[in-house]
Amino acid sequence: MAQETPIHEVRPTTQEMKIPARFIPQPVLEPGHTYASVTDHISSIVLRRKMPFGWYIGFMVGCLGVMLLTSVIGKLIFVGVGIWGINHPVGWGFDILNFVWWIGIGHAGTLISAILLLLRQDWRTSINRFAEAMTLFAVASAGLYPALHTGRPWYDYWLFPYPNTMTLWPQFRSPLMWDVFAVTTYATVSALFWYVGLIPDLATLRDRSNSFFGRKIYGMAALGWRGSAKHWYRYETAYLLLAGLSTPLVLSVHTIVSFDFAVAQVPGWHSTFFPPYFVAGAVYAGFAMVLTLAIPFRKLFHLEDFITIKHLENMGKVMLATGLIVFYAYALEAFFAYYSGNTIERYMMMNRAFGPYWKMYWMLILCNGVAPQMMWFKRLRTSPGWLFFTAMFVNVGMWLERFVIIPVSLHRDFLPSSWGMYHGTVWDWGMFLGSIGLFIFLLFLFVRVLPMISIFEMRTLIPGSHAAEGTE
Amino acid sequence: MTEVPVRGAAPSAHIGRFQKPALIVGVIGLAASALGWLLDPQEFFRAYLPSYLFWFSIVAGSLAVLMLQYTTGGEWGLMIRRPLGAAARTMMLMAVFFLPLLIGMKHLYPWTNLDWARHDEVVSQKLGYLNWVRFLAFAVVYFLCWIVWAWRIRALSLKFYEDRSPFTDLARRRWAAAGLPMIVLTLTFASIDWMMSIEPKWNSTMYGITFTVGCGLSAFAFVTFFLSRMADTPAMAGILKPSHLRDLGNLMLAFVMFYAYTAFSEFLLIWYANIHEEIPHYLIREHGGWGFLALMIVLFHFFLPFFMLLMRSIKDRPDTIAIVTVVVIVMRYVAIYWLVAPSWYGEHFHYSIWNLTSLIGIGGIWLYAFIDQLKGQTIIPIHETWVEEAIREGAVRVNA
Repeated sequence: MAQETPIHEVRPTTQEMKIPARFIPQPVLEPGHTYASVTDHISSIVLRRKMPFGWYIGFMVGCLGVMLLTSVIGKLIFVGVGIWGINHPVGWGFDILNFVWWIGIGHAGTLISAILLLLRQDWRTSINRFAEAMTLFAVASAGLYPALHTGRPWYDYWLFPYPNTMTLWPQFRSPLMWDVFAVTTYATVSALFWYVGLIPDLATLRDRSNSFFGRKIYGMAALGWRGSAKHWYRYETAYLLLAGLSTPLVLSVHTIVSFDFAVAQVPGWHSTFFPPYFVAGAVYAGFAMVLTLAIPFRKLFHLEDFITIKHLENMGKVMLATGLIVFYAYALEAFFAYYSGNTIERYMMMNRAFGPYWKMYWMLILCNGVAPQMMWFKRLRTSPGWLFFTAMFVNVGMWLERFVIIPVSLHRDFLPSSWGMYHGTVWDWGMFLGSIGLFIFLLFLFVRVLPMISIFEMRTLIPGSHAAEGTE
Repeated sequence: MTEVPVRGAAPSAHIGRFQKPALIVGVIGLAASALGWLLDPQEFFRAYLPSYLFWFSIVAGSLAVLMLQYTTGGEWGLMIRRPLGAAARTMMLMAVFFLPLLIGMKHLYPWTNLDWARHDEVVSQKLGYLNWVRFLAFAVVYFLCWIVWAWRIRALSLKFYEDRSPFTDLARRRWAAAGLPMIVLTLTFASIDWMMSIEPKWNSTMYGITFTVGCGLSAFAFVTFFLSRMADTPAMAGILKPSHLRDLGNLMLAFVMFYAYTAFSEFLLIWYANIHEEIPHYLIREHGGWGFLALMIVLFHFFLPFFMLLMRSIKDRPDTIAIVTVVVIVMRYVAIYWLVAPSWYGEHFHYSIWNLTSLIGIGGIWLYAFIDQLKGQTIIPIHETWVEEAIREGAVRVNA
C-alpha cells in the first residue's frame, strides 16, 4: 500500500496526558493481594472456629423464621388453605405473589453467573458464588408456595406426567403446568452450575481444613479434584456448557411466570408486554437483593478488598437500567389502559391509582420508579449506604408490584356485583415472614460452611496471573 | 509521543464511488413515485409508508445502538461507531421524507375520517390521542429529540478530537445514557402513531418494544454489512479482525432472538386469550398471501439467521456474514410490510409498483446522504484514546 500522504499522525497517548483521579478505573480487586492472601482470607471465613457476632444474630433470626414457617405449614396442612385470605373474588393472593417475588429474586444469580460470564465481565467473579447461592435459596422459598397452594401437598407429584392407573394426566395447555417444568429445570441447572463452580474451592478447603471431618466431608464433595490440567480442561468445558444452558433460563422462567397472568382475559393481567417486563423486573429485584445482602456481608467479613466499590456501582447501574424498563412498563400500562378505549381496562387503571388500594400503587411508583433514579448520580451509586437504601426500596417495590398486579386486578373485575376486598391473614404474613426466615437461615448456613467468594476465580484477577493478562 | 496510523483518505475513495449512482437511482425512484402520487394517491401513500419505515428503522436503530455503545463502551462498537453516527445524522433527511406522510394522512389512518371515528364506539373514546394536531406535535418532538441527540453526540465527538479531555468523554456518555430512555420512549410512541393506529381499534402493549428491537436489528445488520464490504479496502485491511465481525454477529444473534421473543410472545398471548378485539390483527395476517409472508418471517427472520449466526465459521468471515446481514435486511422490510400493509389490504395480498419505487427512491437518496456524512473521516474513531491503544496492540486479543 503505497501512500503519498503521511499516514502517521503524532498525538499524545493516554499515559502522557494528565487524567483526573475520578476517571481512573476502579479495580475489581484491591491492589496488594497475592494468591496466598486471597486464599487465606476467603477460606479462613469458613475454616475458623468462631464467627463474628453479627453472624450469630443473623443465624438466630433465620432459625426463628424457619420455626415460624414450620408452624404455619403445620397449621396449613391440618386445616387447609382456608386459613389464608383468599376467597371469592380474589383466588390468587399471597401464595402466588410471594412465589413470583422469590423467583424474581433468584434471577440475579443466574444473570451474574451465566450471562456476565458469557459477556466476559470479570467483575462478576467476586459476587457470582454468593448470588448463585441466593438463587438456589430464593427458588427453594419460592417453590414452597405453589407446592402448598395445591391444598393437598402430598399429591403434588400429580403435577408430573407419569404413567398411572388413575387416568390422570397434567393439563399441558395451562402455563401453570409449564411453570412446573420451567421452575424445576431452573432449580436443577442452577444447583448443578453452583456445585460445579464450587468443586475447585471444595478441594482447597479439603487441603486446608484442620479437622478430620472437615477433610473427609470437603474431600468427598470435591469429587477427587486434584487440579490437573485435564481436570481444569473438563471443568472449564462443563462450566461453559452450564452457563450456556442457564442463559435461556433467565428469560424462560419469568416469561412463563408472566404467562400465568397474561394468557388470561382479566384486565391488568392480559398485556402482551408482560414477558419482557417480568424478566426485567426479576433482574431488578434480584440485583436489589444481591446488594441488600452483599453490603452487610462485605462489612461483616471484611471483604471490602474483594467486593469493591466498582462491584457495587455496577450493580447500581444494572438496577437503574432494569428499573427504567420497569418504569417504562408502568407508564405504558397506564397509557394503554386509556388507548384501548375499553371501559373495563380504563377502570382497572383508575382503580389501581385511586381505588381502595391506591396507597399500594403510589408506593409502588415511589419505590420502583422514583427511588432508583438516585442511581443516575455517581456519588450515590458509589456509596454503600445509599445503595443499600435504594435496594431496600426496590425490595419492597417489587413485592408491591406483584400485589398491585395480582389481587388488585382481581378484586374488581367485570361485574360490580362480584367485587370484594382482599387482605392477607396472619397466616399469610406468617408464611411470608417464614419464607424470608428460611432464606436467611440457608444463606447464613452457606457462608458458614462454604466459601462465599470463588477463591480460584479471584486468584485469576491477581495481576500477573494468566487470566489477568488476557492470555487465557 | 506515539505514531498512530491515519487512513483518512482511503474510505471516501472507496465508498465515494457509490454516492453518485445512489443519487441517480434515488432520484429516478422518487420521480417514479411522484407519478404514483399523481395517478393514485391512496395507493402511493400506502406504498410509501412501509418503505419509509424500513429506511427509518435503520436510521433510528443506528442512533439507538450508537448511544448504547457510548453508554456501555466495549470493543464490539470499535468498528461501527462512525457508520452508526453517519446513519444517525441522516435523521434530518428522514424528517423531510416524513412530510409526504402528513399530506397523505387521510389515506393512511382511518381515524382521520371523523365522520366514522366519532360514531365508532371504541375509536370515539380515544380521539383525544388520535387526532392530527397531537400526531403532528408528537412527530415534531420525536424528530427534534432524535436530531438534537444525533448532532449533540457528533459535536461532543468532534470536541473530544480537539481537546481529548475525559470531561468531554463523560459529557458524551451522559448524553448517550440519557438518550437511551428517550429513544425507547419516542420509538414506542412513534410506532403507535405511525403503524399501530392504522388499525385504530387494535392495541398491544408489546408493539413498541418489538418495533424498537427491530430498529436495533436493522441497524446492526446494516452496519455489519457495510463493514463486511469494507473488509478488503485499504482503510480496513489488517485492522478488521474476525473477532470484530464475531462480536457483531453475536449481537445480531441476540437481536434476532430478542425480536423473535417479543413477536412470538405477543402472538401467543393474543392467540391464547382469544379476545374478539385483539385477534383480527392476526387473523388477517395469517391467511392467504399474508400467511405466506408470516411463514417467511418465521423461517428467514428467525430460524435461518439464528442457525447461521450460531456458527463461528460464518460469523468470522466478511463474505459469509454479509449473506446473513442481507437476509436480515430483506426480512426487516418484509416484516415491516407484513405489520403495516394488511391493515389496509386485509382480504388479499397486495403489492404495487409504488412500493418498489418508493423503496429505492428513499433508499437511494438516503444512501447518498449516508455516504456524504461518512466522507472525510476515518472509518475507525482513531482519536479515541482507547482505540489507538487497541490498534497498537493489534486491535484484538485472541478471545476478545
